[in-house]
Amino acid sequence: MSRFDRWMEASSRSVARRTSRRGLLGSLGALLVGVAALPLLPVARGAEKSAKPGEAATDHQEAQDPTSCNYWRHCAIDGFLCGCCGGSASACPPGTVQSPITWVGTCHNPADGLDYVISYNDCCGKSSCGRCLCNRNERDMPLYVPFRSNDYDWCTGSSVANIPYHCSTARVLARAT
Amino acid sequence: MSLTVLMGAPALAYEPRINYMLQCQGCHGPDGRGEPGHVPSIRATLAPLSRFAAGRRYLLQVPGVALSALSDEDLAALLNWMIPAFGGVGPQRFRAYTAAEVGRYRREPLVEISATRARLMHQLQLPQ
Repeated sequence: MSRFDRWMEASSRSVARRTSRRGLLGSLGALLVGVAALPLLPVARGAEKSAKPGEAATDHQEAQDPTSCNYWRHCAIDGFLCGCCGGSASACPPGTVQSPITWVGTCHNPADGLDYVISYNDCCGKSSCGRCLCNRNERDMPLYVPFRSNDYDWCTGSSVANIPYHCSTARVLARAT
Repeated sequence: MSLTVLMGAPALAYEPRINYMLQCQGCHGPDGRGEPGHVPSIRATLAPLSRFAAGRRYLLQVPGVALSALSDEDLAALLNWMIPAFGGVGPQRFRAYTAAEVGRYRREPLVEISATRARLMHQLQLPQ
C-alpha cells in the first residue's frame, strides 16, 4: 500500500472518530433554516424599501417610481420633481420652503383604480433644481383660469415662500369622492 | 322617493369638502386663513356676509366663485358647507343658499372687487 493510501486511511479514520452522521445532518439543517430565515430579518426588509425619508412606503409607491414623470401623482405637474432634488414626491428638499399657495387637481391611481385630490406645492428659496423636468397637463386650464392652471410660478404669491422656484411636489390630500 | 324626484335633483360631482379642496384651498388654505397680504381669510367674514343681501351677493360675485366651473347646485352646496365649517356657526345661524340664488347673482360681474369688499368690511366693522 502506497504512502498516500495510508495517509488517506488515517485521516479518514480520524475524521470518522471526531464527527457523527447526526452532527453533519444537524449542521446542514441549521444552514438551510438560516438561509431561509435571512429575508425575515429587519435589515433585509429595510434594504427592499425605496421610499424617501419622511415618506411612508405604500403599495402604489412600490408599484411605480416616485421620481418618474409617469408616476400617477404627477398627472398635472409642471416643473422639476422634488424627488430628484433632495426631497420627495410630497416633501421639499432641505433649504427650501413650501409655497402655501398652489393649485389642486385630481389624479387617477391605477394601483387601486381610485381618483385622489393632489396638491401641487412648489418648493422655493433656491435656484432651479434642473433635474427631472416633468410637464403633464391632465385637466390643466389656460393661464386665464388661474386657479386651474399649472403654468404659474406659485413661489411668487406668498410672503413666507419667496422666489426663486426650485422644484414641485405632488401631495395626496384625500380620496376624490 | 320616486325616480322623477331622484332625477330632478342633479347629482353633485364631488362632495362639498372635496370641491373646497379643488376650487378654493389652493389659495385660501386648508383652514380658510388665506395668505396675509395676498389672499383674504374667509374665517371671520363668511358667516357675517351671508346674513344680509349685499353680503350674500358679494360672496357669489367674487371671481373664484362666479368664474368657478362648478354648477349652481354644486356651488350652493359648497357655500352651505363652508359657512358653518369655517365661520364656526351652526346650520340654524345662517340662511342656506339655493341654486337659484347662486345662478342669479354669479352671472352679474363684480366690477370694483376691492372697493366693494372694503365697503362691506366697513359695514360689518371687520378688518380689511
